[in-house]
Amino acid sequence: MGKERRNRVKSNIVESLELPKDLMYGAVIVTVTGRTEALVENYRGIIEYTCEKIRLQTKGCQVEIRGKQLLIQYYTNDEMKVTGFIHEIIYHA
Amino acid sequence: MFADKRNYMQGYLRVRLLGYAPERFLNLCANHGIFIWNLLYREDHYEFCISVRGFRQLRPIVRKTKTRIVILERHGLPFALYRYRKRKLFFGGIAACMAALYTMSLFIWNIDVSGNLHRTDSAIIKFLEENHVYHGIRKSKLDCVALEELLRSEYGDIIWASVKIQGTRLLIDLQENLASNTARETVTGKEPSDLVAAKDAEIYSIYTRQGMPLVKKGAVVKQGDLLVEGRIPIYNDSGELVNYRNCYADADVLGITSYAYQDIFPLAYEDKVFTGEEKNSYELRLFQKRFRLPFGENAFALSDTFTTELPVRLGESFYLPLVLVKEVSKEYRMEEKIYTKKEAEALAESKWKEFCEKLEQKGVQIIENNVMIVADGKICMASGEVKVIEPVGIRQDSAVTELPADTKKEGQETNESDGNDN
Repeated sequence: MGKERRNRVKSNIVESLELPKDLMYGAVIVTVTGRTEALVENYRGIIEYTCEKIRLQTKGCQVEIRGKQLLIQYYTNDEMKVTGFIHEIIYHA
Repeated sequence: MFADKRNYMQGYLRVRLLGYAPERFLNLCANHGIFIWNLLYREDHYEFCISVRGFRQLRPIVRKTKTRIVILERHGLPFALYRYRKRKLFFGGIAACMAALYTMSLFIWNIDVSGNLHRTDSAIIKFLEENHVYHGIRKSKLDCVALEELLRSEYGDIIWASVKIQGTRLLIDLQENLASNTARETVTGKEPSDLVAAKDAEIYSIYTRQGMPLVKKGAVVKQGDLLVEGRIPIYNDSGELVNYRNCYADADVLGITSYAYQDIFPLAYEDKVFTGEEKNSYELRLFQKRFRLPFGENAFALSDTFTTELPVRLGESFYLPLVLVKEVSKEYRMEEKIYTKKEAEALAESKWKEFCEKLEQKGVQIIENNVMIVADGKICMASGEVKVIEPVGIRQDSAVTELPADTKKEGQETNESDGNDN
């Protein structure tokens, strides 16, 4: 009950002050360009990586990118660029 | 692009990652700030690129995750240098090239003069050469400020000069005083002088500002006749000549003068006809020496040669002492031709017009011309006369005349008495 209320207060503050949500919630940002390029920011770590599937841990959930011939062009602590042929992007709770 | 260059300069490796928990390895790399790119999954292993410095930090991570690393390829400058370490001449060549480039950059290879209207570039460059500033001089020997002063003191009409070195070029910016000629005349010509007729003329108008006018409008004067006298007589109350005041005669005297014009040319003439045959030849000029390249000799009996010079330069202003000269020879032959009557008349007419334009450029006004053009038989003749209005007065130092003996004495006496009074 307390946690829920704290979340509500936080979201009210973020909304009313127009603070950037990715910073306040630590939310993942996925920028997809066409079907061949995806840029994932604010991720926590790599869980699984094969040619068909990249599974990433983020703050609230896991993001899974499915496709063909997936290549991680580069990755740093909080940013990753994936190229290849993307089929779907799935969010696991 | 920039990242690629940096990676190449620092050197990077393509490695294979084998083992039990590669994902953990990848996450640890990210946490330790080790940059990894082009990460690719193969059947049972991963391949990626890593910088040399990053690779050196991998050991504890490898041990922790119980993985294995195999180097597949080495890329970049440090590895290339190591591979070619025995090619001494190659490195010597690079060093020699750098040294040559540096040495060349110590000299001036191009002098650029701009802003000059009356003085030609070559005249100014020649003057500079006389003062030991030439193509190929060492930059450290140049004193730009002194050079500016030298230019200003040598040429009176250069009122502003800026000299600067840009790369291997010496840039000279000048500002000429366009009104200097007239100004000088008024400044230096304050000596007593007369205006005399430059040539035979009929006076069209005369406006005197200073001096005694001796002619009126409509008068006919001969060359050398006095027009405006600088000596002004001074009379006393009883009408006797007391003294002369010598001054600088100043007047606008316009006169009607005539120019004879005659132009005769034969109807038969030789004309150049280009055959369309062309030959290119090339030449290299290093410093002052010329080297003709072996191909493309000029084998025509009659030809016009067009020369193009291509100075070799690096970048905008680094001119090397090497010039590629291209010469195009165009063959022609002479053909005997005869002007038709119309052509001849048109040619005579155009020559006549050119003559008139030249006159008008001198600042005269043409009021009348009667020129006949006749083309018959073998020659074409244009002859006649053109009447113009032009300034006819030229300056001449006036002879300072002595006063008549008795008046002079009187004058001296008055002067003396004046002196006593004071």
